[in-house]
Amino acid sequence: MKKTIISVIFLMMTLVLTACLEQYNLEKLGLATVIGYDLDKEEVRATAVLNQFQPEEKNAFQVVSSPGNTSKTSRQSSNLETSNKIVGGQLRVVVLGESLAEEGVLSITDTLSRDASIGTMLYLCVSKGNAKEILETKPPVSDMGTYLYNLLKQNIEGELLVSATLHEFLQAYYDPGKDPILPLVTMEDKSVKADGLVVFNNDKVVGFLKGDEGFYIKLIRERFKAGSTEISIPSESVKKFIKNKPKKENIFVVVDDIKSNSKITLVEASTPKYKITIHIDSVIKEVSEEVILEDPESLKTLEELIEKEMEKKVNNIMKKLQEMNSDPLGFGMVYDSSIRNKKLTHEEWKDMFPHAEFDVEINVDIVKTGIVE
Amino acid sequence: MNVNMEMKKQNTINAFLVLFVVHTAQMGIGVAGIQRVLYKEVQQDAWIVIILSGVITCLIVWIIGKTLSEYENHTLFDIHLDIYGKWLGKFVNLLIVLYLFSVFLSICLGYIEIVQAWMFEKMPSWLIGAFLIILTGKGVRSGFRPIVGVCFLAFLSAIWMLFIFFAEPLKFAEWHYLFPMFELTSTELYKGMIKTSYSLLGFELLYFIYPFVKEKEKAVRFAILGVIASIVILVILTVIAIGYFSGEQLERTIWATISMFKIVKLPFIERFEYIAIPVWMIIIIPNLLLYMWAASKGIKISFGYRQSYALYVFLLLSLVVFIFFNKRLHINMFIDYVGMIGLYVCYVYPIILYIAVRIKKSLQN
Repeated sequence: MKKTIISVIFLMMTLVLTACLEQYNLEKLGLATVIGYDLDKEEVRATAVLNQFQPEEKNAFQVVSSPGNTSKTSRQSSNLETSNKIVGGQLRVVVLGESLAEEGVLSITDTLSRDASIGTMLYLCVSKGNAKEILETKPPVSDMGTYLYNLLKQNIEGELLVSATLHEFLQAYYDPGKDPILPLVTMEDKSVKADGLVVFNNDKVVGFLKGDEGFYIKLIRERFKAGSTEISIPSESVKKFIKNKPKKENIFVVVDDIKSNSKITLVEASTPKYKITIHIDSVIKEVSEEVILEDPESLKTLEELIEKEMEKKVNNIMKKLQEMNSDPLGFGMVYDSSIRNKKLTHEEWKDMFPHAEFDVEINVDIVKTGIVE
Repeated sequence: MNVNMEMKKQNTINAFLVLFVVHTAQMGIGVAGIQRVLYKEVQQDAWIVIILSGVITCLIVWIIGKTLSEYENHTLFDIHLDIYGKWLGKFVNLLIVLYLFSVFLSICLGYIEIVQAWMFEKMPSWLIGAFLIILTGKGVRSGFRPIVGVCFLAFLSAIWMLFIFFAEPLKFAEWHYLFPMFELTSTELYKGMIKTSYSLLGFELLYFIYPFVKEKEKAVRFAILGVIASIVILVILTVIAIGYFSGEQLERTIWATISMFKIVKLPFIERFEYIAIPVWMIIIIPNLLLYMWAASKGIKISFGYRQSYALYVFLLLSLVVFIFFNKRLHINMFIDYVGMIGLYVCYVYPIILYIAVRIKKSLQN
């Protein structure tokens, strides 16, 4: 009997003790779904889109923006602009303004990773121009936070963009032999879209890659499927397989990568020299001319031409990356893991990477040509 | 003195339960952050160090078993009293009790820190500490067999997390980070093994549970199996962490295991660590119970006070510690010291004790 009374008292205490900690009532919170950071004179300006839950109103959200010396103080002064308490637990996207990204973003990403309530799977992206402008536009559906998140998410899952979570950014940043790479978000006529990639040297943006170059970046980074790309082939070389007379100088082939396999090996350590071997099983999605695809010989020629074009593209991208001295593909990581008893440092790799040589070998297999022949 | 008294039958446990006791005693706060500590010393070869430490631990467990089999129904405290005589024996026992108590404190402090860093920033240390103290007090009062039951249940309620968590971090793992393998030097290996010891502490509890095991000849075998289970889990967690984090990133991540849990998403919960950290309390409860039980038992055997009084004094002392001792720097220093002392108590002392027991026995014959 005594025991029962004691346990009942304890159970009742659990009901009473629930208010001991800080309370979070959903109606009194502003859930930041996206935060943008810009450089405003010497200060960091944080802009946040807050989702608020009001029973009367559907989709109640508010944009707040204020400067501060650190990202945390700017968030605190943002708190003064809203009736609800700003919390970051639902943060999905962080937009880094171009001006800030060129100065270095480590202070931002460091703060984000230090905060236990913020997930490391949030997406980072860089905006052309100010992040504030982008966050202040009204997207076609819902609020900007959800819109940007879905925009990035579906394109990353649909293999059009390189995955860019906070974790991957930090993983690349803290690896001496690797640099971060993030999607670029631009605004054109009041509509926001993802447009290519930005590459970093340490935590500073050093250059841009166009949309189709992203395909090759994904192709070389083995973990991802690369999606599809358009390849131009001189009509002259496939003339005999084309039914009608070609209309243009080049014909365009859309190749979809269904399974690719890439391998980077260090051939020679002193230069350093790499061999990049890529094997692609692909599907022809579209050809701009009517090419006879059932003929084994024509397929073979087509494969060879695609390979050649791809190799040229990869070489161009490598040259471009070397000029910017940015290594988002992790060649330094491969170097470090192949050399014994030596720990690569950031500086060493930055000296070595521009002189690296690459031998690219691409092997394309057209396995399917769709449901028609 | 009276060596080898009979154990009451209703107090004994089956030998296979030793596996869970040793395993759950080893799994504690160390698992949450071992990767970083080890990576600082031996980089990508951290997992090799764990395996080697595991081999040594198994050897030590075997030696402990050898020592205990000379005595059948006695704990370490009785052995001390037998070997060192009344006064010196009591003194050594007091040191052992202090060691057990400080391990208890270090586990509590480590867990409190995790809760404050990850979930409730503003929750006062003494409050979380009080929860742990109430649970420990209740558990230890119930006696030895319920404690073993808790160990078994804790094992079942925690092991599933490992399977849930595999897939997600592996998607982001870069296996290049594991190469080149076998790069470590002997000094690195030595330092790495010292750092691993804190995470492997717990097997020394065999000294105290041995008299309660029904089939004594099997106890050591199951204890070694328990150690192997812990080693497997530690190696898995370390290998995944080395692939998931890049070098410097791992060195900055205090609780790599929990940081990896952070990305696991389930349909009904977005952030898995909010489940993982409360479950971690279940992981550490066996540790707290076993250490506190052994410490209070030591007081009873050596000084003749009632075990429950010793328990209350210890729990009260810990509450005082939780109130006044809450700077991260100090806590980390304290945990490091406990790890260091643990290294001597668990890895060096059993060998000395075994030699002492052998000498004593051969003199008697």
